[in-house]
Amino acid sequence: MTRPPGSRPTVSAAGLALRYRGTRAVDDVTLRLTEGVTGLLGPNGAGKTTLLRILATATPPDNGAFTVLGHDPSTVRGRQDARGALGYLPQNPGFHPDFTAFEFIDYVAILKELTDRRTRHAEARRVLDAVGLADVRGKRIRKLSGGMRQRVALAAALVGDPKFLVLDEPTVGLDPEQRMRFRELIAEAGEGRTVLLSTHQTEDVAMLCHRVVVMDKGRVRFDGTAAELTAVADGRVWSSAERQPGARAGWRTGTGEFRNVGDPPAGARLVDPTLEDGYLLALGGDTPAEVAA
Amino acid sequence: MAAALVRPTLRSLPWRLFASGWGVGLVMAAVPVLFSMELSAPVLVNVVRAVALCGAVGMAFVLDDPARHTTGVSPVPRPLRQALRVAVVWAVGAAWWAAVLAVIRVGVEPARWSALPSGAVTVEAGALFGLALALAGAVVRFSETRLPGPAVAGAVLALPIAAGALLPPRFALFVPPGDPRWANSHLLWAGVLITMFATWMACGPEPRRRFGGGLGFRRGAVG
Amino acid sequence: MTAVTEAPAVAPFPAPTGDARRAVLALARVEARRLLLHPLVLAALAAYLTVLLWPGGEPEDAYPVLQDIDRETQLGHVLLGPVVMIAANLAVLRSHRRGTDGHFAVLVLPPWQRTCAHLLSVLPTVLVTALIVTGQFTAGALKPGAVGRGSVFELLTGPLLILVCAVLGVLLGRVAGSALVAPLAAVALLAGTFIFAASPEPGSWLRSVSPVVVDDGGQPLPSDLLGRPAGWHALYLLALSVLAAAGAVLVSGGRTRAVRVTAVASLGAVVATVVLQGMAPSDAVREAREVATRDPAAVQDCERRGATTYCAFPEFTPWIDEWALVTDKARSLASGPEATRALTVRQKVAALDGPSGMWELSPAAPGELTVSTAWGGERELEFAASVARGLVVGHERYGGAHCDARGVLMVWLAIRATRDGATMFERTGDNYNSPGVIQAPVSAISLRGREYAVVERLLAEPRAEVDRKVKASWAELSAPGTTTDRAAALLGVTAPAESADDRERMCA
Repeated sequence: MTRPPGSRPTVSAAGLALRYRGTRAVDDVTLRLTEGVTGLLGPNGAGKTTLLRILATATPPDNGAFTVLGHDPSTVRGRQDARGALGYLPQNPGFHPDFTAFEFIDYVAILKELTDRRTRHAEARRVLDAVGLADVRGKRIRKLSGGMRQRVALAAALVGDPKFLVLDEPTVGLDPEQRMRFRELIAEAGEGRTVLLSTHQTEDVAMLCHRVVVMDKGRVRFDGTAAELTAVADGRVWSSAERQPGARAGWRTGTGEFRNVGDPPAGARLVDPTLEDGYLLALGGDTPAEVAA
Repeated sequence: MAAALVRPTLRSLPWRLFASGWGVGLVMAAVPVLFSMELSAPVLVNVVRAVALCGAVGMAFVLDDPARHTTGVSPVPRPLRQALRVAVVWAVGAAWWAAVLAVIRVGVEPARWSALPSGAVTVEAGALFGLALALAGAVVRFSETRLPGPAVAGAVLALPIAAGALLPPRFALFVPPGDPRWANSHLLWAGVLITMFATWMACGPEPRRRFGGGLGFRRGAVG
Repeated sequence: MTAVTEAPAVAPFPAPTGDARRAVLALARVEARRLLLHPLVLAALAAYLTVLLWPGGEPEDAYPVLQDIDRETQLGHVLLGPVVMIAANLAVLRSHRRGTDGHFAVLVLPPWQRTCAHLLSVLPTVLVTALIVTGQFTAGALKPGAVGRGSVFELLTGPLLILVCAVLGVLLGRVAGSALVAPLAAVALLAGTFIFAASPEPGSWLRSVSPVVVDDGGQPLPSDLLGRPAGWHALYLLALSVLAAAGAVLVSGGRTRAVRVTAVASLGAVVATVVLQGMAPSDAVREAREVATRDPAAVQDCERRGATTYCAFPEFTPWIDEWALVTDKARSLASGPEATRALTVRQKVAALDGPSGMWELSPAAPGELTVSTAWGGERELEFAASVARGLVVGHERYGGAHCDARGVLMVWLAIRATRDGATMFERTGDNYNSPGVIQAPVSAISLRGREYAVVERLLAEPRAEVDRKVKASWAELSAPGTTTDRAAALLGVTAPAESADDRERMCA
């Protein structure tokens, strides 16, 4: 599933920092995003949402600079241009329950300054088709299921064919089938676009992203490919009969064996690591396990 | 159990909304004093009515509970939870009403004050508050909404005004004091008050079966 | 850390169709449709139209005085306005209340331009109310009995009220994020209009800042005596709308020079129009009121029809035909010299205090009788009573109840000379809770229970028979001093005995 990363950065950020209620929500983050889907992993409170809000131009950073597709959002003109070129799916996207799906998307399209009525309507139909909601276009959003509403929100982010998509935990609350469908949509969206996807789901990242950024406590702990994140755990996952003292995490699996992640003792029975193992290890420790991309 | 619930109930009520309704009402009640207007008894009664309407609009938010989907499954029955909220709010509301009448009294000469039927207008105010309560109760009973307040506030405003404009003179509710229909209209007001309370109480218990669609996906229902 | 200055790898989004102004218009269109179709607004408009089109109504409605009914279009709008205010407020607060503002914040159109769109979106609703007002007034003006002339400014006031309210709704939505604010503002607005501003004396500043200048109670005045600052008031409402609109744009971040200038200018206009309203009525109007009240002949047009001369304020001359019908009918029922006595019917007003002043007229000069500025239904009976009094008594001073044959004769004559006279007589008794009293211009004509009973009995008799008997005994019936018993005997009915109440009444 992973695609070769695009060579030139489309979104670049340097030294981004934002204090929020006395804590450093984002602390000196430097990033270069390229075409394709980049996953942003991290525990709750890691600063993912704040970083996404900064990159989506919803919140200006206290420090640092960034460009979105060549536009500098620190200027009014640049922010407008950046907004014209990005799509944002926030965490807990709201809905206007009295609007039909089509009316809602059309409304968003107007706010994106798609002014020609015919092209705007065509665009609304296009994005609703793209997320598979063509049949319920005329239904009021209050009557749609949770998964459908989430797809409406994705459609809203896709309006105007933005080249930079910021998706904040789009698969939360979806059942496995819906999540699968969503992965398909996001993968499609990643063709020729820059997608930044924040999630808790390591499977999402393993299946979708050519690149992974791990954040914790406002800082970037890892930045590399999915394979590189998995490789962080190379030689650090082993199985044993009982829980082992060097394990940072360990649990009894279905086979009755203990699966340990951490620093194995000599002669341990090593097993193949997963992306999740790499993620856990990247989070651990005080020094960022940064790996050059 | 009820006693233990008083404190959390106090904290969970939308006090700012009540306060704004009551605040506007008090300001309105203070207008005759502040501008030393000499208003006749019928006009004063109308001032008091407008003040009561402000209070009722605030009262429309009494059953607003953002955590409804969480508290809804607690073992404390809904009538008790609602009754606690209502009791707390009405206690404060009664104090507010007393303050309103006191403010009005300051601005009026004693002779005019004695002409102002404060008991009867209190019945009217109670009926308006009851209307807000009954509507909120009905919305909570028949829908899944967590915040019935805004819709109820609109209706609380619209219904009395519509009644004032549209009811035939024989059943007029907003009658000036001294009018031959005064006594009858206040029987009607008392009837409204009782009906509204009965409606609220009838809407109190949890329904055994759901009306309309299920919970579905609700933003904020989880946190 | 150095600023990041890589060249973009992707061409910018295909030339953002960029024209923000067109986006504002597109948004305004969507919001306009939603506002007009908002359940609250639809219900209020439906209720308003229902009240307007409800069949029935008073007989007076067939004779509208246009300078009064233009004003009547306003009160309904005071009730409609708050509804539109709440709906517009909810539209502004929608994305806040539904949690979409997190998403919408990063959409291209800046907030202040969205505010502009919301402000524009109220215009179609205002237009609809303007159409309703136009229809309402046109229907009145097209009635054959319509007199006078309406004022464009009075007619504009209703739709402008809707505009002010809607714009205030938008402003409140931008200032406070709570849906409670607009309903409370609505209560305050209604209280301000109907309670506080409706009661103080004319010319006070409260009256000038009120959304509607309420003038109620009196009878119609010729339009040049109204002295209502309708033009300034309309301008005041417009300036207030612009001020609130500019405020809403400023609050939502549109701090451009043009907006600031507009805000300051409209604030000035608001203050100026309040002051100018307070200066009404002008000295010219005061003088005209003086003349019309004390010396109406100086400004009236007269028209002679047989023995009767009708003098009316120019706007009311179309009613002379109606008056003549009543006068001629009354004369035809009389006999003797009274039937052909020369009379002048003079229209009178009490205009000194303007349209809501006390309505007390001075008695007419000898040989004259008074007609008011209202017509239709009970007003016809009242005029007929005035004519009957002119024929029988010849003066309009009130001296108490008429306890003799003349009282019976006058009231009977008034009823007979009026369309649906008996019904109107009954209704006027009900309305004032005083059976046997006709509120004739200048002073009421009242009967005691005894004379009232005789009239009732006469009305139950065959009409032609009574007409003949009245004509035959006219001289005796119309002579002072003929008793009620005698009148009853002459007319073939019996009079009940004098009751205790009757004895307590003061007789003329």
